[in-house]
Amino acid sequence: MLDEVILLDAYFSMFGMRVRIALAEKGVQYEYREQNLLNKGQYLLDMNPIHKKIPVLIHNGKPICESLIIVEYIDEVWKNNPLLPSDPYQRAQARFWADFIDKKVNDAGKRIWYMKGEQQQAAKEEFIEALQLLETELGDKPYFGGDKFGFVDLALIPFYCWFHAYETFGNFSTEEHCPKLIEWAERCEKIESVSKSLACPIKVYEFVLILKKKYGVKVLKCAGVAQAHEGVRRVVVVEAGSKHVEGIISLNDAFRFSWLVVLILVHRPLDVVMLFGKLY
Amino acid sequence: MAEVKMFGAWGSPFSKRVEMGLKLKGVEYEYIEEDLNNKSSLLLNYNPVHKKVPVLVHNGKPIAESLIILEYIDEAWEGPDILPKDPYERANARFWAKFIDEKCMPPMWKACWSIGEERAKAKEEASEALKFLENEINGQKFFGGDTIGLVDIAANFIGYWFRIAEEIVGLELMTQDKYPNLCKWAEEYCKCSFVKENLPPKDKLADIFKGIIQAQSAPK
Repeated sequence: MLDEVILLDAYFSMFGMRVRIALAEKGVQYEYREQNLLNKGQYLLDMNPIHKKIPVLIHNGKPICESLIIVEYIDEVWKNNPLLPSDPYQRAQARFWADFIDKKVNDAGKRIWYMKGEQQQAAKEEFIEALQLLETELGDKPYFGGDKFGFVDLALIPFYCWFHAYETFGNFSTEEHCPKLIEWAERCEKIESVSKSLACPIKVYEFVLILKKKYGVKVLKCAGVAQAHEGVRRVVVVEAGSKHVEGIISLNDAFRFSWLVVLILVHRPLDVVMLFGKLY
Repeated sequence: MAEVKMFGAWGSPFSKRVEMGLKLKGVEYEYIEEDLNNKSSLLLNYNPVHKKVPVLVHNGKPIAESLIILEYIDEAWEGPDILPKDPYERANARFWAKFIDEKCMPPMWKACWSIGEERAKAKEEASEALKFLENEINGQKFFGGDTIGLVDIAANFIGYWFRIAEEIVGLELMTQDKYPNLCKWAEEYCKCSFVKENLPPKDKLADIFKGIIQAQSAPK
């Protein structure tokens, strides 16, 4: 009997990305169905009536929910290229760190773009602390799984494409605090299953802007780019409607700059616009 | 010679979960009671990340987080299955165990110890969550089928701790008319001789809960 595998997912979801990576690692053929999370379809609600969330894997008509549970299911059904180690103690450790990522990294990360002021600062500190703990756990190994990309790597790497959004809204650099982790992430990105499953960091940022609007959070509009030292472009971010500089984030990617120019042109006029060091 | 140690707290449902798992497999272990207000350096060394009980130490290697420990016990030792063998049923068991931890226990506990609007909100949240469990247990003796499994072990708080707390604080959440299946399950569960051995004494727990109420109402 031919396997029917359907994945209900959303492009930006790090949880969905985990499942995409797992399926790709196993070489499973499946049908990807993008869901509109702002207007959930009946099929999704039928397949996950309890949480009403993605990802949901439907294997021969039977739904499985919760990303790490889905990944373990995939690992148990398709036995090639194992994602979890075979030793029970190492499996327990892998599950422990994946659980840690869910509890600490995800929650703090969300609060970075969602909150402001003191609460945002607290979220940043928690986020960095969690990443540093993970960096210590990684140690000198190329992957959390050892020589091979495994369960913990898969659990964490999708968050990497959200780092740009976190860093932008939180005004900090993960590389500064966890250089080895960033090295690990860049190593993972070279793996085909990862590179084809992760969302584009710029698009993630744009998506978060939409979310912030939806949740009534004040959107920081980019005012422009000012040339700074060492060739690093610095973007002046001004709160819409205010004359004060809210924060400065640094960019070193020309592509990102051109996107920001579009952002300035498209959104409603700002009180202060600074482009190339000139005030408009 | 295999050496198994367990750091726990007598009143903690998470701790008792692990003991249930070990006893189910017939594993001999050394139990170390932790004073949660004064945690030992040994515990903090074994669980530096969360600094909590329970922690299982097998041949010097620590494992933390009760559900993760239960899966470890299931894989490391022979004996009755804690999780089913079929991958889909395993996924289902993991789903409900997680659901209990994340969606049932927090609002149920909060509903016991809050007042006014906060209690009403927590009670509603808990009611919704329990409804799903009520439907899931329908027609079965245990969540694991004919025998106790991962979900039954995970639901020990619902079957025992909560019923005691509920009565003491006068909550009336998990009532017979609203949750007949769950109440029946709780009765069977607590009657089970194996489970009975792994529950803290009712009067000792009741004292703790009454103590919480007193501390709450004490003048600041």
